[in-house]
Amino acid sequence: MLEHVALNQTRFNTPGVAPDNRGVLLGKQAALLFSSVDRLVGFFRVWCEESSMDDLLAKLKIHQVRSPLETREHLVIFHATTSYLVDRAARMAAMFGGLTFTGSGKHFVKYRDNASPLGYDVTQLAADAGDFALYHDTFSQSYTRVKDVPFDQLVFRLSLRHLPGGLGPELSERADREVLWLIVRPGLLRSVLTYLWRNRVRAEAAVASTGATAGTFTGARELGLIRVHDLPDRMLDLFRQVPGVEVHRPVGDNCTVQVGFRHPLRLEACAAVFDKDKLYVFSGERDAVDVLASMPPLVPAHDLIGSGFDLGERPEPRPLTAAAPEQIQISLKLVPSTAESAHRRVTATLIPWSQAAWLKRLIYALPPTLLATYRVAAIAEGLFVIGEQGVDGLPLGALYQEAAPSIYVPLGHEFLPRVSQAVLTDQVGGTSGRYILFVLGGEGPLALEHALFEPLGRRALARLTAEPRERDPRLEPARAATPATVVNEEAPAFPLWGFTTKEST
Amino acid sequence: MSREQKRLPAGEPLLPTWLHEFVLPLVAGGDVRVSRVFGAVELRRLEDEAFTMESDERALALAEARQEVMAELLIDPAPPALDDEAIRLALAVQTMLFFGHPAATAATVRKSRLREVAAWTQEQLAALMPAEGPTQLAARHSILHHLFDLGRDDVRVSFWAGRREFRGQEPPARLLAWQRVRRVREERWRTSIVGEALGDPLARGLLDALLVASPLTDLLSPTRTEPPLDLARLAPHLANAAIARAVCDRWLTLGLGEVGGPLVGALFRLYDQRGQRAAARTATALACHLVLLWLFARPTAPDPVRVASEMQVLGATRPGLRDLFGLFVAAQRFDLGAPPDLARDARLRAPLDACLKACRQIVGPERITEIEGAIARGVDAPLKLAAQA
Repeated sequence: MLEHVALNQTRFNTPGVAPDNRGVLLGKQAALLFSSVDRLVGFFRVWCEESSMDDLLAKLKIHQVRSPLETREHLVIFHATTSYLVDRAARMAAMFGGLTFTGSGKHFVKYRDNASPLGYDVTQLAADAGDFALYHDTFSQSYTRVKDVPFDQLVFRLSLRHLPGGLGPELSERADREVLWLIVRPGLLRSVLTYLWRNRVRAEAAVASTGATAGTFTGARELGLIRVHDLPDRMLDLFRQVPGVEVHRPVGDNCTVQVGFRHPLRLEACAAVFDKDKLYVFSGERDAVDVLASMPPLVPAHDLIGSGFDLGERPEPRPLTAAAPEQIQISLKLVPSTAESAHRRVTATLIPWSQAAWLKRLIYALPPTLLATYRVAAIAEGLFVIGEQGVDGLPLGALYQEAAPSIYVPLGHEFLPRVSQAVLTDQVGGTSGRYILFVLGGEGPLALEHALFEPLGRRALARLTAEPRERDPRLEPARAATPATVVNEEAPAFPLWGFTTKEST
Repeated sequence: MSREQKRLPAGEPLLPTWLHEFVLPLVAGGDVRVSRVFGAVELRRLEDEAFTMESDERALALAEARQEVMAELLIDPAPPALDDEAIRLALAVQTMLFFGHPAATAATVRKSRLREVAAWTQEQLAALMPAEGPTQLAARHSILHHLFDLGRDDVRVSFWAGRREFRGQEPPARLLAWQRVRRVREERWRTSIVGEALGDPLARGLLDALLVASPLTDLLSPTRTEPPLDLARLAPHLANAAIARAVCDRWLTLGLGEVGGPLVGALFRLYDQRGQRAAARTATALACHLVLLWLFARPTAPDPVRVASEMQVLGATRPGLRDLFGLFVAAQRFDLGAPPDLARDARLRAPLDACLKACRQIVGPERITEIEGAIARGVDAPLKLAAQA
């Protein structure tokens, strides 16, 4: 018999159980009792669809148990980390007629339900012999373990189910067909590869062996594995109809399932079952699972297609020596340009020294805001004035424009041949920290360091020297406010000796 | 040879040393050395030597120093002569300072002897003729202009066995030796001579006599607590334009907020005195003139709104100044508040009206009525009912 667990109850008859944070009675383990394999598989199918098997697989045990009435049932025992996990498992197990228990070791008591939200506790423990004692509100029964059913065995021994329809929902999307696997018999491998190569389908192939079986007359099976990319629909239909060729779709990292079939369990949720170094090939037609000991090294398909090689076709290669190419130099010429594009903004001017006085006078007429943008460098050819925003305010000297950044050419001139700005900059040796100036009639370009430039206003004005002056003594300085401090000097022993109010007689 | 003649160095002139050690520092600043008092004999010698001294370096330096002080009050004053007035004023100061000398409390000095010295010195000051004219007032003030900021550096040395105090003297080196072993601690402070003199009846008498002898010194230090400003005695000098100008300049330099309280207090004391009608009128007019100067003596034309806000702040922070504002308003009823021709200039009339309006708001009508009553009592003029209408 069971009794309801009360809130804040701390003592229980069931061994190994305790209330969790919510007050729900929970043991270290939870047990699900299924009366048949179908229900057991159904439970795992639903579980895999909703969540990952990782929650259960840690300490999952599936036991085939036998009741005292010799009925065979399946008992699933897993680690009850939280009551939330057990709640979920109980809900799914109830869909397949499963019963949920909690406890640890041998004794498992019925898990909570709507009638008793905090769970149940037994009034008296059963003394029956058996491996498991399950306490339900309708029965209390002990079970004996018959055998264990590993979960991976459950995965590999379940047959694939045929999907109705054509390609099925698994390949309805284009993205699902980006990578497919072709499992072909070794004799068909070359033909399939040639067919793919001719139709320009990208593919990689490998020949894998499933390993020898224990039978005397059964040798190792060889499979041709071809990974194809973006397989056209017509080929997909074609390969599905060719005997000896199976089209597989990848599931997870190291599983393939034949197209048109599906595994009863959702294999993506059972990733922990599969060894990462192996390749699992689930074949629906053959109703078999091929396990490749390791992922085969894939080779591009075109390398595997032979076209007949003859070592005597060509003579030995002739050795050749490299030689420096002949340098071609073309000199740049500065020529007047009539093209409209050659007339750019005037950003510099070279004022000869003969016009320097004019510049000085002009500066007084220019607004200070305009002068602030001008910089000037004094060179032998004259005063070179640069204004980033233009030197429109200085109608003096030879006007210059920028042929390339920091490279100035006379206005209305261009280089022949026309070279790009990058080439021009490269040919003059770069413009980092300097300006390059091409003067008409000059022998070559002039390089002006940035340090030569200074603001035009400061440069144009003559230095003013202030003549020091001294204070005129005709105006006397103000009286210094010196405080007066009384200092008491040493007085004689009789300080008032000799004081008189009358003058001497 | 008399006793006092034995005490004085017979062949050595007294005046140069005295000028160098006492009078010149008293005027120009520095260490004013005091060790004794002068009596009638020394006074006579000083006067004689001053009369016969020609182009002495110290006398010239003193004259220049006094001229500099006078130049701050008058336009282009001549170097004052070292006359009997200057000598007696300086001598009186020396005597007052001697009363604070440690020797004055020595066992060898009798109180009666000190009273005798004080009485004789006051007699010498009282014998001075009343000062007439700004030059004479400024000349006397040039001797005493440091009177109220004259100070003395006192030292107290504490050590393991006790403590000793030195007034205006440096402690001997032996007392400061082995500071750590003897746990020597030095405390220094500056003592105001006037503040100390106020606590000594003999020195207080001399201080009063000095202020009577130099009215300008009295007028130019209105912010002192004691002795109080006696406008009954000083008001006649304020009738002189040069003196009134110098006094107003000094008072505005000190700040209306600082001067307002003591000035109004002196005015109310004056109003309570009988027979001081003229002095009361003069002093009242000068107080109003001071307010007008504060109002108009600005780099730019006074803004009525700004003036009103300034007065509100001053009235809130300086309670004594509120009575001055009230007196300024009340004096308008007695034609003492402003020159009659002020109303002719509209640029001056507008700020003046704003000032009067602000004064009425700050002081309140009740207090203004009280002040009007005080003024009426002082200037001996009945309140005109017609003025209210």
